[in-house]
Amino acid sequence: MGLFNVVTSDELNNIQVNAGMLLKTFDPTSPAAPTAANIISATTGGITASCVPQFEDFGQDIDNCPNNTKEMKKIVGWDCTFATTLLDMNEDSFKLALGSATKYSETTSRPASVEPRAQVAQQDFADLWFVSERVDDKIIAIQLKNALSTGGLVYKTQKNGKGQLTVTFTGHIAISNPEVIPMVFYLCDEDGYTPAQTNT
Amino acid sequence: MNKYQALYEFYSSFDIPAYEENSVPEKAELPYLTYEIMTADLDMENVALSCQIYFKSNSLMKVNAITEKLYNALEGGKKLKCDAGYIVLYRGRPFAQNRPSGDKTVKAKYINISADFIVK
Repeated sequence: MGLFNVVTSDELNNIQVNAGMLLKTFDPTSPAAPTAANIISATTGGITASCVPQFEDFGQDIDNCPNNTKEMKKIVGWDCTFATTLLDMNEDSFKLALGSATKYSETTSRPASVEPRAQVAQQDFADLWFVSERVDDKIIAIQLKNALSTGGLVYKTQKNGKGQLTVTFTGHIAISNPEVIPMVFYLCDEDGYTPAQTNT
Repeated sequence: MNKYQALYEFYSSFDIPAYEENSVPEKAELPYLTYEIMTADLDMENVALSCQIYFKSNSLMKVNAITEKLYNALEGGKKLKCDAGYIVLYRGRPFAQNRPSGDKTVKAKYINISADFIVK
């Protein structure tokens, strides 16, 4: 055995398996199996979470200052997204994919419908959770705050196959709290969270 | 528990005896389940495994019931802990097929399973 090709059992515990799922709500302090109403949709092809800082090099236009000087590196924003492909074709999926849309229930004079809106409404934003499991049963829960579909509705059918809705949700900063970046990563136990004891 | 014991323990959890497919005792009585053993390393490629369920019956009811138990047990991936790490079993495609047994009073089902070997 070589010196640098060793895998420890602890490292194996950290490996994530399976696709996970998108949920409307999740409590990382008290994880529970999701109810049907809490599940966004069946998905295919897995789910991608992305949290990418937008950097600006403030030294870029300064003579004699090398590019990528650490003292000049500034973060000007974060791109936080969930991307996946939904398989549930219902009013909720269409509304979610459209982002800014209104869902109309069936009435005696018209069937149910979902209609895109010309304006974004504040109630169009909602938190989403991407929850998956590690091989040692620890739960990886990612919260996307103030999420809105920014990829629009892309609905594709295929011969002898399932129709698919490709969606991208983007997290948003609230102007009331501009320091809060809209993605949080939790690692929690199946049987809940016990706060660490503080010494008094 | 080594990899082989972990697989044996999983396949033995369905109320009928389980045997490695090349180690079925000559006097083994139906019903029983036979399973295939293949192992792999941590290269993140799925390995295709199979098992077969046999019942002495004129009906598929019992063999279907065990197939459903196996199907449910694999929901979301079944993690088997072993000394070397983990084996994660998933439903294969197609999951279950009826299989001719050569004896009309013996019903058999062929099950496809895929496995991730997360082992050192």
